[in-house]
Amino acid sequence: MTTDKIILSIISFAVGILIGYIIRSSMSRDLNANDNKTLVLLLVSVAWFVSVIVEIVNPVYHTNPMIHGLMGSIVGFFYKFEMKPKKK
Amino acid sequence: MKCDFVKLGERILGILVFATAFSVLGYMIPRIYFATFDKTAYYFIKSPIAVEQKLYKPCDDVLVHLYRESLINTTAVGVKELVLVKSNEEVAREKDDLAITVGNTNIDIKWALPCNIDEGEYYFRGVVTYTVNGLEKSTTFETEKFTVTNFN
Repeated sequence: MTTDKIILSIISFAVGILIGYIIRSSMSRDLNANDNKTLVLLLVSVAWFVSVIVEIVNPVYHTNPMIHGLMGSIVGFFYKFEMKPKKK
Repeated sequence: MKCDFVKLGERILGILVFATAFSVLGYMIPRIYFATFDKTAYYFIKSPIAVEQKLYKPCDDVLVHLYRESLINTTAVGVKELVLVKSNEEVAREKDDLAITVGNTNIDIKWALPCNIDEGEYYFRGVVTYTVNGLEKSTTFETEKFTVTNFN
């Protein structure tokens, strides 16, 4: 069971990297750095929200609080950039 | 250089605030939902539970036909009491650890009667307590009434 979870995690990680690379390649011409950060911020926020909803829908499922914290850290890291007034 | 330290401090503050907020909200929102809004009976026992016979002697086993439904796999604690109807007096009590699996099941169980009970009309009643997402829930049950007599 633990082996299955490790393999599934590695596969998910690899697929995530691949999808991220494809998205970045296809959108890099149209998006600037701030847009990319906003995209990451939105994706992580949506992932966090989905994890909370899944925990409500499936009462047996429980997201580790450290995962919540990790997602919050990423959002906090990128959100700082959005708070800064843009220089013209 | 001073400016970089300020930026670093702001960044770390942002990380700490959001990490704390996400952790607290992620932990609390499902629990608030289950404590406040969720009225689902994740484990249910159909009452009254049918008993095989209407007459028993002390020390006999009471065969009960129990129907239960569970929406989750979980462990639970069941407390069962033998009650004398006439005085509503609890004669015996037993506590069991239960392993509950998802699904609907008919179960036949033998519940032993104590050897030192008086004649009279009795029934079993009890509570099964289980945990869903850190919150304790319970379901009650009771059997049909049956008579305990020393005569054959």
